[in-house]
Amino acid sequence: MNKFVLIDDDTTMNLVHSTTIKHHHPGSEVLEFKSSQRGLDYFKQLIANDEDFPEFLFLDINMPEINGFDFLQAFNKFPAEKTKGIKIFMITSSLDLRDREKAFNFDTVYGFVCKPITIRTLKEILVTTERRMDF
Amino acid sequence: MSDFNSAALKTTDTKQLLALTSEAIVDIFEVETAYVFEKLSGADQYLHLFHDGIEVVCDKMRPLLDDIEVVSSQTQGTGAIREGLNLKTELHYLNQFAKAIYFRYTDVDAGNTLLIIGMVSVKNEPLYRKLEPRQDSIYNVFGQQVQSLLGNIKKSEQIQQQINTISASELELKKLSLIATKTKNGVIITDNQGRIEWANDSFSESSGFSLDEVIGKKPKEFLHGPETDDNTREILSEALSKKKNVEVTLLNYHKSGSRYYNQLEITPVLDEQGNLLNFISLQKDITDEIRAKEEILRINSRFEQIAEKSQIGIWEREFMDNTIVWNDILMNQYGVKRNETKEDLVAVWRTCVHPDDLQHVLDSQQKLYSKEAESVELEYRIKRINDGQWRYLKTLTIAETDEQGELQRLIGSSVDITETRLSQEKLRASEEKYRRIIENMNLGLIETNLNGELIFMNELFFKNTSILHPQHLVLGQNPELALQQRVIDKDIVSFRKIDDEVFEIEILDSEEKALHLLVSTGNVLNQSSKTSGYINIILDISSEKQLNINFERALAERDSYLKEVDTLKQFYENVLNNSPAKIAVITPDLKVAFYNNLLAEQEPAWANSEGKSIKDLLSDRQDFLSKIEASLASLKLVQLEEKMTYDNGEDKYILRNILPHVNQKNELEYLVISGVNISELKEIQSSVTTKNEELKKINTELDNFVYSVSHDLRSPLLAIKGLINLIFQTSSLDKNVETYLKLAEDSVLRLDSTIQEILDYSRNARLDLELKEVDLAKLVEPIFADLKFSAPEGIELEIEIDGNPRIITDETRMSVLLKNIIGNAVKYRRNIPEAFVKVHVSHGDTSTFIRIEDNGQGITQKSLTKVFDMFYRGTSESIGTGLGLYLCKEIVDKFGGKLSVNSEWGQGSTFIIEHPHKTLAHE
Repeated sequence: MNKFVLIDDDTTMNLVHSTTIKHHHPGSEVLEFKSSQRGLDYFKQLIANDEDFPEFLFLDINMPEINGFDFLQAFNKFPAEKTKGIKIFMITSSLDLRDREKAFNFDTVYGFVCKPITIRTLKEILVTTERRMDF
Repeated sequence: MSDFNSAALKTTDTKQLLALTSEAIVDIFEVETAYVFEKLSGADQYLHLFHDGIEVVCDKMRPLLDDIEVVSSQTQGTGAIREGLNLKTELHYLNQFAKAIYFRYTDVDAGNTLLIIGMVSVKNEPLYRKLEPRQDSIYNVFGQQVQSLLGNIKKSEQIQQQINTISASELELKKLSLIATKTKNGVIITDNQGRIEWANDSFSESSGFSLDEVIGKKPKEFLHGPETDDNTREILSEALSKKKNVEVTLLNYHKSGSRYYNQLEITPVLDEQGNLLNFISLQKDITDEIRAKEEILRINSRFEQIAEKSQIGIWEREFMDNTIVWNDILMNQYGVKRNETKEDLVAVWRTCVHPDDLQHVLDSQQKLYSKEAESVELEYRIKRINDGQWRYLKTLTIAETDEQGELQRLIGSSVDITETRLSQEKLRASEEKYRRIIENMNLGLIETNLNGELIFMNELFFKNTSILHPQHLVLGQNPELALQQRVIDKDIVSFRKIDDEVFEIEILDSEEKALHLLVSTGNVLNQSSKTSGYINIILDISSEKQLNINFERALAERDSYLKEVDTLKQFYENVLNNSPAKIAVITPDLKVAFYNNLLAEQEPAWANSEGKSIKDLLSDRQDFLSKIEASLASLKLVQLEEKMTYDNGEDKYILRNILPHVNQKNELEYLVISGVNISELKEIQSSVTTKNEELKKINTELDNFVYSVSHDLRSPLLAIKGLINLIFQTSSLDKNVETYLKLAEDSVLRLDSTIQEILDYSRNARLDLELKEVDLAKLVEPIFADLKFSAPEGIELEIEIDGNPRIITDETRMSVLLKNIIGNAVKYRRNIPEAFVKVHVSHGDTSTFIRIEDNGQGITQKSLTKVFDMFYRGTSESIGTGLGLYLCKEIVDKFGGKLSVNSEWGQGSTFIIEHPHKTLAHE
């Protein structure tokens, strides 16, 4: 049972993604957040309730107020035993390679994906993560 | 007795008388034997002894006489020994006599003692006794008679003697006076006071005074003078006053005042009483002798000096007394000290001689002994005793013989010729050296006699110079004439007189090549300084001649170079003077060599500064000076930016270049200092910097803008894309709806593509290249991955890299570039099973070549030229904005490279990217 968290200021995109995920992985739990702040609050709540972090986080880069990278800075302050399980994928509409580089500067970032996430992309993600999880 | 008397009177001789007496006694007194003795007064010995008329030796009668003496000494007159005679004589026969009667008489005046003894034998003794008393008196009378007779005889003897003496004296006197008169020596007779009584002619001659002038005078009054030696005069006076014989030499003064040396012998004449009667003075003018002696001494001393100076060792060996004498010099030669040598000098000499030479020396000396030779000359080596050095000696030994020809002495001289020997050897060595030099020197030597016939010609020279007819160089008495003749005869080509004895000749050698010779002529003189021949010395100056010609040519060239250099100099000075830069040239010792007009105008201190030290000129600009010194030290260009303030307060910036110029040996020749006013430049620089800043800002803003815009444009687009996907995924659709949706998707994709292209184009145009090392293989991989997906029928995508897959490039741009071209190739593929796109990377010297080859649709010739135009779309079926290849070209331009395409419609295309090698900034 996979738990996905989506953080993107574009709600349409969020809809597309969550529908895609649910279609491909029926039974997956998908949480959508419109802003980094809301996302952070959620995670804080999880910590407060001592609940496990979800497996996947799809994080948009370009967001107003707190962008994806800022979120990551804050996220990295969360306790390590909580954050170690989660796989964070940066998603973007950006064609800028610099964003890609910047993303991988955060070692918590697992991957970098272009919007929109298609079924194909999702399949790849799950396969690779599963494979890796096997290790 | 009367017989005796008469006989006695006839006697004239003492002896005769005594003999007679001794005979008579026997007759008269009837004694057996008689002895008559005479003894002179004061003498111990009896003078005469007569026995029976015969003179006998007194000595044998000695004891008898002594006895009688004892007995008779108190008596005068007769005495008798009455008792037995105690005879102890050797005359044993006298022992038979028992008695003696004697008469002793001493005559004081005559100075004698007479003793008459008559002896009686024992046999006759009694008889005698009877007669005795009468005998005594008769004996006495007889004795007295005899004595008086004796006295008479003595007296007459004396008288005779006196007469003889007188005659003898007279004779002597006669002789003496003859001598005195005639002798060449001067004779003076003075009285006992020393006053002249007589002087001979010789005296007058030597002294200049006649007898009349000097008679009665004392010689010293007129003979002695100021220079007469006082000491000698003292001796003379003393001896004379002591009436002694004296011999002196005095300086006398001639009447004329001239001086002469006088050897005097003064003898005092005494009478029998010893009273001084006269002085006889013998005088000899020994001036000549003295002078001769002096001369000899002078010669001797000169000789000694010479001997000493010439260091001649001299020895003499006398055979008679076997003495050998060495002079000091000889001692030194052998290194012995006179007092230290106790050994025999001959032995010393022997030990010194070199063993190899000894035998020869001895053999030569033997010749002297054997009288084969009168003198021998030798040269041999000795080892000096004091320092052990080997010395060469040259000796001469002369044998002196006496009248009988017997060897009396050897005289020898010895000279140490070691130095001479050594210098001779040196001389020989250097002679040898010079001989070899001359032999090897390339000079010709021709000697002829007075007739011009050849005496000598050195072969070497003539052989080396290959002169065919050396005899043509024989010039003889009148060289100039001879040479003129030779020219006429065509034996020589030409000649030139340099001076009376030196000529320059041009002659052809055996190969008809011209030779230039320098000939020097001279006369050979014999011992009487008369010309006995001619000598020519010849020097080959052909090469020198050539050198001369070359030299002159070189001089001419040099002059023309100098002119050129001068022209160039003027040209450069002109250039420098007209340069907009202020230029000064400094020598390595920091002195001004040149300054151009501009410098002089703008910085008056530099005007007329040639030769001045820049330390003075720039004394207030230490910074500048230290930079100049830095340039000097490092021999490298040093730049300096200086800010100076004009009088009007304006600032100006001067950029100075200090450039050292070194020659081929890397030595500093001079410094060129140039200054350019870069104030304007500086202004421009600062405005450029400002503008750059602005531009950067604008760029960043634009970048952000583009970024934002693209994001804002793309976001909704992607949302649409996503939704469409969603629809496809989640719903089953009506065929028409599906078609419409598909078309919608296509449009969305197109729009997205355009936005991307615009973004890329914008970025490419604005941004600088961001170079880093990029692995082309890795770059192409995701491109292939994406494209493979979009070509479900499958297309062969290949990349081949020759060499290093990594190049320095702008990653983003390269990615865009490759994506576009490879994307195009895939897009415009043909629907064939073997469709492929091949990427080939190779590296050239200056660029990397990326070839993208496909077997797709290709491009028509018509389109090929326009394919890179902006917004050009080849066909209506073309998907895309038409920006793609335009963008690619722009990117390649940015790279500074070339993009080209080969294509054939329906076959395929090959795009070639030429990407120049880039280096990262820090390299």
